[in-house]
Amino acid sequence: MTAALRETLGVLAAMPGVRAALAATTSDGLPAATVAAIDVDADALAAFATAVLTRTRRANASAGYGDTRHLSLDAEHGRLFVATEGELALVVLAERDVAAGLVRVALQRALRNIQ
Amino acid sequence: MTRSVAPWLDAPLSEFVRQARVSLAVALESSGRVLAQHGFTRSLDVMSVCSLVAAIHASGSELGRQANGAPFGPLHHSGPGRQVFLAPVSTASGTVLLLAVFDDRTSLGVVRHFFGTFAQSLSRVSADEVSSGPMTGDFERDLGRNLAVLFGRA
Repeated sequence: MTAALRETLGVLAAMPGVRAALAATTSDGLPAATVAAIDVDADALAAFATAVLTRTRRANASAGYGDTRHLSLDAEHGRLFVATEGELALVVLAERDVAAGLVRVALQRALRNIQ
Repeated sequence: MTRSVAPWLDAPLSEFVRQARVSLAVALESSGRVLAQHGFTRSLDVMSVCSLVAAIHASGSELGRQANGAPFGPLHHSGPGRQVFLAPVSTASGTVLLLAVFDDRTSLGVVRHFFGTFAQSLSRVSADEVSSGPMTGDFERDLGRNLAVLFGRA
């Protein structure tokens, strides 16, 4: 793991309400680096978050909406955020009441930092 | 459609194929004798795939022993359109090899995850269930009969 990536994930994971932050490759759905505040199955999180992203991308492209750069999924007990640039995806798993706007901004900033 | 000659493999392999969204899957003994398959339409394909998988596994295991002190684990090869995932699973009666072929409808991460579930399912199968498979000890005869069963000719 590069120092920049570790630092970036550390900043994301330290945000209030964030359970885990990881970087994954979008094509194979494998985790590249993980920082978790609680026990999280990083392999499963990377696999499913990138799978959701890939399908959403295809749906949006089919609908003529262009590329998908950010994905937010709200569930009963938590939220999933995925932001992507090229082959890399940043994934944040958070509590339901996390400040979603702040996470979104932090993810975009994080992507810029590690480019 | 998943077909097998080993009833204890039916549900785990069907679930693996469905959840991991792989297009082809075959489970076999490390000798190359086929136990179950999904997605193949010709027995000749299954026979050649099983031979190749058994050879790859044997080579990889021996290379692992020499280079690593222990057999290597799962193997993944990626092509321009399709990818293969090959991994051994320990069962009560020995090693079962699983080969899965998949495309961009799924990913290596997803396939690996559901392979873990598949392996867990097989680890819970008792020796009695595993040994109930119809094997005579004659490799050619068993292989021929298993292929016939898998392709509805028996």
